[in-house]
Amino acid sequence: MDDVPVLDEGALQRLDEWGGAKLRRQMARLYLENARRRLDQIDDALADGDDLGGVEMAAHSLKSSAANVGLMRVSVLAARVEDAAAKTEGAELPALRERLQAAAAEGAVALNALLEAEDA
Amino acid sequence: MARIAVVEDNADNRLLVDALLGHIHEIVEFETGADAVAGLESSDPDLILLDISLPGMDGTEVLAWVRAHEALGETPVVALTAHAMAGDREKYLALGFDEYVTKPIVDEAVLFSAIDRCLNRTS
Repeated sequence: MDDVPVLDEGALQRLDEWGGAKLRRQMARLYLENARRRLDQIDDALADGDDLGGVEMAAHSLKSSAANVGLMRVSVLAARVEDAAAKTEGAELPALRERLQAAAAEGAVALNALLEAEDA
Repeated sequence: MARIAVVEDNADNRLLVDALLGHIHEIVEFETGADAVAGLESSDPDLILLDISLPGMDGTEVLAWVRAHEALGETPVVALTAHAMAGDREKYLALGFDEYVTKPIVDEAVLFSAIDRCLNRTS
């Protein structure tokens, strides 16, 4: 996982090209909202007697949202969670979930730091 | 300008599609498959951009509904999906999607080309 960047700034540059700083900021804000919701859904689905379909759907959404703003480590780990849930490999999920939570926290710090640096 | 219906549950993906296409086409948005089924007939789109993983009624079910609909059945439907494993393209095209575009959108020209091919076929 160390070879996957926390933040791929190329994705943010693409958003700039498509809609300027306004689009980039809106996408970052929507990602942060969606990530919180989807991580909660993954937790709830795991707590709810291993609702693997629920885990798969929430992880799929997070994979896509994270990649939109260049949070590649979150996206790759969300893809692994999605894949494990789809293959009903529930035993792997608690450890993957921990790694995903950590990557999401790391990614939020990186994204917020970038946005705050622009505001300064 | 065409009227494009976007069926997508993630607000960020809807925003992105609007940023890419909203100045070229009229965009009509639906957040769920059920919303799309309720509103597609009256919005009468020229093309549908359809996510696969939707809560409740998923994209393949929406596609089946569109194909069975008397007025909408011939409408081009583009799968816009983060299901991008080997074999997924063939799988979704075989189900009756006209085009298949993966998310995240990295090269917007791929999306534009898929839309143009669909609209040129039906014009």
